[in-house]
Amino acid sequence: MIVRRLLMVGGLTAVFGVAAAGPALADDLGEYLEDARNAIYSGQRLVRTSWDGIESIGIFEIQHHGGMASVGSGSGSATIGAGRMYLGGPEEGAVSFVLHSDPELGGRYSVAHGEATKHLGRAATVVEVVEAGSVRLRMVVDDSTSAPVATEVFDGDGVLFRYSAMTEFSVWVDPAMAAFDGREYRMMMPLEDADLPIELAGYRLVDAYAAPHDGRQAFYTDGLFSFSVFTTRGRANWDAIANGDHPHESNGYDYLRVISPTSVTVLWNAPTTAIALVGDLPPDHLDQVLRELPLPGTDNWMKRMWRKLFGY
Amino acid sequence: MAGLIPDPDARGELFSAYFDGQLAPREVAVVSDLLDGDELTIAEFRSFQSVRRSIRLLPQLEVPANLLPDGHLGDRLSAYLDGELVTLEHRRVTRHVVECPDCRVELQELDRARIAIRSLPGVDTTATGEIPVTPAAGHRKRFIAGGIGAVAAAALLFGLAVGNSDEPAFSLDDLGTRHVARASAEPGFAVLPQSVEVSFP
Repeated sequence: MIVRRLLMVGGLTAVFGVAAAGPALADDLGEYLEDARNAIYSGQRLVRTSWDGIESIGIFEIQHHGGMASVGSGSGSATIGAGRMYLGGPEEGAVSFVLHSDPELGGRYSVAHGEATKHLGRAATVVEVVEAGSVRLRMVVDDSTSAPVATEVFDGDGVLFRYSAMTEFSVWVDPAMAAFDGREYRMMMPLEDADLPIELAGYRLVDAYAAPHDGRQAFYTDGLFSFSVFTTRGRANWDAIANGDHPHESNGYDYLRVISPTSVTVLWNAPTTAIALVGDLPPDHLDQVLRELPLPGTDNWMKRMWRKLFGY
Repeated sequence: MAGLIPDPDARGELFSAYFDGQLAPREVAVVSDLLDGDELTIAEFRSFQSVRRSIRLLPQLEVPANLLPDGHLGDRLSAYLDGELVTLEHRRVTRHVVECPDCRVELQELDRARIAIRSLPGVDTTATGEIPVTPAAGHRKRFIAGGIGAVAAAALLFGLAVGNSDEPAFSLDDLGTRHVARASAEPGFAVLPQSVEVSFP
């Protein structure tokens, strides 16, 4: 089990807060996500990912308002939201991803309202996000702030994959939380072509950007989960790069995977391309996506001939 | 607390600006104070939230031109978005927008334009297209993260770890940070916890 104690925010100068408003159950997932985006809260969140007996746990400090999340303080502060990220401290800097498209995402998910509950003594409502008749995501939504105070993500077999819960919660945030106003950003401009499929197992290609080594970052989402596929020509020594990696077999092919509390990174070399996939998608979705991406291999002419003749 | 801004129009403008992300931190504090314990103000805040959500979810249906009502809204759409319309006019404009595809499209375009303007960063004209690649060897690594939302990697903001051209040497922290930064623009970011590792010099 990997346990990481993360930077604690020093001196949360709580100076204001938001009082309760009546619960307003939304009708679809988009409305819940929009309400959560506007939520104002702060606190501490525990996140645990469990996959094939591997566990990774993190404890995070967070402040959230206006669609932005801020962590840390002083030299380690960072604020992120709306495709932008600002890093405070001695080497202050910021980056902004320019969004190219606003895709119409398919209705893979539906929402079912659960029972009223309490989390940390606060009134809350259980909301289930259902995919093909099975619960994919269960959220506990704080009634007064619309903040998701607990979430459970399940894999295709209904096994809990990721769990997160606020262990401390406040409607107070620090007004000094960094705003994006007036900052200069390094711009990440979208590219016209990602050289990858427009759709991967129900995930839509939204944007592509330049990445290291003349590579590309292709960003996919299904409206809830998301992942980026980083590609560059050549072969990478992933064994030397990945720290704490675990082998992962998918569809009969071998990959490396690195599991963090909140995401999974999968690494492999296709015949002519080094590929890394980073995202928060559940394991069954991941395997479906991997099946449709270039497969691991070291194709020589013999292999290519074999595949041409026999199809595998 | 509502007495801080007794004028309902000014309060509406403040809420509207909040949902547009146009408030300075101190102004956000005023919004929070307004909402502190005043049920009427909270209801007004919720109403603004609901209107904004409805605008973005409005369907764009094609309606025969001969069915279009006369008298489009023009500048009042901007006032509508700003929460400057008094109650009766607000209802009338809402009804018109529901019935009039042209004004609905105009309202959505106006809303999108405001969002786009809001999201405009101060552009660094010396750096477009791709973040410069510079060595970042010897950096001390530590891990900071956020529950929803997360963190920055110095590698992304200030340079990228590189290898020789024959064998790409990625930084996994950098890849994770790039993904989280881009993902923060998506709706799911609000409910799914994200984090990345970070390298500070």
